[in-house]
Amino acid sequence: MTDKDQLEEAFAQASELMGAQQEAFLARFAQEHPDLVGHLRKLLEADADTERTVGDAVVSSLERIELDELDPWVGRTLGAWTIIKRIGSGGMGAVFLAERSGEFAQQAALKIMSAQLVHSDAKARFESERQILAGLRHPNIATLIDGGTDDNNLPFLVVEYIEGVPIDVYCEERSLDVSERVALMRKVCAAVDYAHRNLVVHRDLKPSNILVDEDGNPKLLDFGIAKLIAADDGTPVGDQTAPQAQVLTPQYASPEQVRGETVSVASDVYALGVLLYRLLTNRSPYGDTGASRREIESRILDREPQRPSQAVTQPSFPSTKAGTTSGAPVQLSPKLLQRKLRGDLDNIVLMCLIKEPERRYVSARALSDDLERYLNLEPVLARGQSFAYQARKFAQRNTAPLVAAGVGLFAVVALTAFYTVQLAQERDEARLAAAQAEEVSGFLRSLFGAASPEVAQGDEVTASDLLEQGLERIEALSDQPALQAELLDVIAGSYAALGQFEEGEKQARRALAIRENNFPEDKLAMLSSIYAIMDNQEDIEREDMIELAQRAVTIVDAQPSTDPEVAATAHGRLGRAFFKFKRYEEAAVQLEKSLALKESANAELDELSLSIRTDLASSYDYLERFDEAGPMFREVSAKSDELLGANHPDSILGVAHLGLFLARTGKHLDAVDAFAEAVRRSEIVFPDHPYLTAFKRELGYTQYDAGLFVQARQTLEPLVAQVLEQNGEAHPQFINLSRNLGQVLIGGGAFQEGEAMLDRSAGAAAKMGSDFAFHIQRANIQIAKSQNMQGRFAEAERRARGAIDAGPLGPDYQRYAALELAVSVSGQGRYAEAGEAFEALIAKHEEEVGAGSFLLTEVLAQYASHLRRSGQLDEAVKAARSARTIGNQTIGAENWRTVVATAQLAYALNEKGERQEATGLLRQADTILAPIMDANHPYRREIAAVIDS
Amino acid sequence: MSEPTDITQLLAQWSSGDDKAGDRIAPIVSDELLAISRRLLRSERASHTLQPTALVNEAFERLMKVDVDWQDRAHFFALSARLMRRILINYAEQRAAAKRGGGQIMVTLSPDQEAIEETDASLLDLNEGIEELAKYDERKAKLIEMQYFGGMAVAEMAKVLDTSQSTVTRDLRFARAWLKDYLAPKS
Repeated sequence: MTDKDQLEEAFAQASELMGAQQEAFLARFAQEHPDLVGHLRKLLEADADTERTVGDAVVSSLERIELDELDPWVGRTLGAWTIIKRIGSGGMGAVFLAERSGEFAQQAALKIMSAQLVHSDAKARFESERQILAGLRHPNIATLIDGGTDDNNLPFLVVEYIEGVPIDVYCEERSLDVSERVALMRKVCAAVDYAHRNLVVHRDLKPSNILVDEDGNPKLLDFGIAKLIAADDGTPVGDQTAPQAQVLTPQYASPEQVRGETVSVASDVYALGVLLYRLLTNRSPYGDTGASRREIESRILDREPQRPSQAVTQPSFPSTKAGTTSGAPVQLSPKLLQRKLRGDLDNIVLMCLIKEPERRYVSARALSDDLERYLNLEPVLARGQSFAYQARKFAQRNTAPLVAAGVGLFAVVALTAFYTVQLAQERDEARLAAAQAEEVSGFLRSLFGAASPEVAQGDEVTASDLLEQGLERIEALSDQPALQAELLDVIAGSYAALGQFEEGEKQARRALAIRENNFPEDKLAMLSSIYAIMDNQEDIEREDMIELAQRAVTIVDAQPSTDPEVAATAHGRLGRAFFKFKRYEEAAVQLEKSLALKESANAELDELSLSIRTDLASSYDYLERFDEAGPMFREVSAKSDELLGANHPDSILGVAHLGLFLARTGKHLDAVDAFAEAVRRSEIVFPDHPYLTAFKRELGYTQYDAGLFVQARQTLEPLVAQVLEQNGEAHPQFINLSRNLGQVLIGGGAFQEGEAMLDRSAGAAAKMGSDFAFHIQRANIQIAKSQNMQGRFAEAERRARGAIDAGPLGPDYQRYAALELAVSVSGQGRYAEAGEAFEALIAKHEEEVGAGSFLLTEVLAQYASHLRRSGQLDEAVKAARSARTIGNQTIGAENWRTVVATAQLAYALNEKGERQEATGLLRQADTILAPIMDANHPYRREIAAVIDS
Repeated sequence: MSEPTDITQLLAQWSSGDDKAGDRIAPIVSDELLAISRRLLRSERASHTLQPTALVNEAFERLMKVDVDWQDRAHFFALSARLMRRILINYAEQRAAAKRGGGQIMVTLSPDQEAIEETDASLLDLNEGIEELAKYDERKAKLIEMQYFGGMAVAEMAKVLDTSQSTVTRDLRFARAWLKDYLAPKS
């Protein structure tokens, strides 16, 4: 036995003994193992000492964990976000308050899906979910700000941080009355409806997901998150029949969710009904008393909820002050509250809670409209049992099976069916029919309006299938031409959204014909068909687009009483049509008129106003009315961010528009900021969209123009690699981008690399046939430029001439080629020939781009260089001064093109003997060039040489 | 190589010696442990006790498949115990480092400050004790870790160490005494 074993054995025995017996044991042990007995004695003392404990430190340490600084996530950085503190943890992961510093500093809620991360496909699903969420921009929906994965590939979402309280708590705290609660619910409905129109179903609407802020604005959280959770067991997200165990909140679950059946728009309508029930009565429709999940689920499936007006007369749990109903609209006795709820509100709530999804309100919008009717004391559509009766009767009569095959199909069929019946019965009530038609179109629009192919693909039926179904139903409405036309317009609009323009135009023209034949006097109604036709002409520029728009304008102008916004839309449409056909003057006139009309009705900067302004600013831009275009672009961009959210596609386009404008007017640094912002936002919203590539390309170009050669290279190099991987060399994207990268490399002084890149661009173009030969010319012009910069004038002349002779060039490239040719000729000492070439080139610029264009900076600087070379020093000083003045006024004194002009001025002054002024100017110039150009760059070498001479 | 699809599988890989699997599983379990402890603390403030047992059990229910076998269950607890120890020691160390002026974690000055420091000190002492004990007898150190940081029952510890329950009981008693003696103020 080893000592260790001896000790342990002795301890085991001795620790069972007490007092004298133990002492006797120790005495014996001391004789056999004198060296171990000391330790054994101490161990026995420790064993007997109940004061001393081992685990206490652990337990008290555990209690410290609640302090935020103990949180392992706090202080961590994920992407641009730093975690400040934990806000909550739940079954699906953790939520933190996070902060982004820098220019776009803000606080937000950062969510980490911890349970998700071990699924190998979690990231892909997260990405697609994130794109859906990114598409949701609504003032009442918490906005997705960012997302990504951390170092461990753990996906996270960053969502607008909402400071608010759950909607039920809010109603209680503020003691809202019935009308106020209904009004609040309408805002919630609007947000839910908006999401449905984007084909996103919430699936888990409940008070804790609807926070109300200080100003009374509800904000919906966790859109689509429930869908993510539903796939927790590994079933694909697209599988909407995931087991019901994932229903997180049985209290708000619909019967179809409990049964694990298809979840649709109707399921959210149901949840809205439960929510409304709770806000009005402070009760669940199925009782609050500690029922088990099973019990609640069985009630949801089988028990008809009590009418809200009855529910409030019964004691609530936990029972509170007698005579009042805690949480429910206050200052009302149960009796009074009962009277308020009885009738319309009872019917509205119960219509949401019908067990069969197809018999509920067809949309959140329909629910909201009925609530509005209630608030306006108008008759509501919900009829309780009589409605249900009618719908059931129709379903029985129609033996064709109503198959639920996706989010929308069932609803479309049922809806059209319902209105077919409804209209047949109430044929005389024309006004009601009109109201319903509006609702029909609202619903259909809601289903398809925002359907883009990618989104529709995720469902079991495609949007096209749905539209065909819809068309079939519409045929049956031939005795209701007004409704038929209305529906056809909607269908046409949906085809436009799907890019199926031909089919869309056909249906819209049918609708217009129906209107013309049946209601020749109702001109205003024709507008919607006219616009539907035009919407389907977006891509094919049909000849009669302007005619159609003019017809719309004639219609609104003939009726002075027309709503100004309707008139503004017509003029705006005409303006846009002119713009499309490049008739900018006329476009501007119409758009100005449109804007004036719009503002006469409502001066607020809303979506209509923004779209008119965008078009108008673009027209001004093309008309070179920059002073008007600039502020307007800025205004649109800023307001769009505010109104639609910074990540709304329109807002991103607004930023890009502004960037293009800034670049064209020589504000290169500002343009760089704008495009960098557009890229940043696009990476969040549409990482796979061609827009992102385009914005990056523009970013690279403007960085080059701004002289940020290093950054331009960083932007363009990965982009070139990316398009190469996607499409290979023989693709215009690669040809263009590699040429631009070549320019950038040359700009920074990497001539060899740059020329190799240009050769590659030309080579790729050569493979693509004569249609792409102009790309070879363009590449050669840039190579000539590179050779000129290195003093290889004879080679440059051959390149430039080759490019010019190879075929026609656009005006821009004609000028670029002429410049390189003139420089190369001058460099070879043929001064007379070069002088003429320069003079012609300057005249050409003044004519084509204006005497004040920043493009002249470079031309005049080169001209000055030529004059100096040929000994005309006074002329050279003059030309260089002009170059510098234009540069200062357009691209700014710090832009490299201006600096090059400054250097030319200094060289001329130097040769004239004004050495002091010359070296001063050159030192300034080199300070600016040093960060962007290598010391070996010919420009900087020349500057250094002159300073040192 | 296809990615493991759940923690159970990762755990199996990890217990059979795949360290990468351990690296992936550790942050998941750690985070879960923290989240749960925080919630338990809030809800069970009155009783003022937070038993590691409750914590680890809940983490297990959240993270593992229900049909996981008894062996794996015990291993999960053992892992949790190790992680719990690591988490607590890390924080105690970081706080100590921050106090010296380094470290990434801001120390909030509060009336509790002294208590925190005291707890930290005894926790770090305990940790040192366990490390010493491990030098003396690694199995015993592991038992202490499992009992105090994982709240594990004797039967579970026996499973993990593949031994009898009576041996575990006996060894634990010795290990406790050994530690108490080691940690006792030296006179």
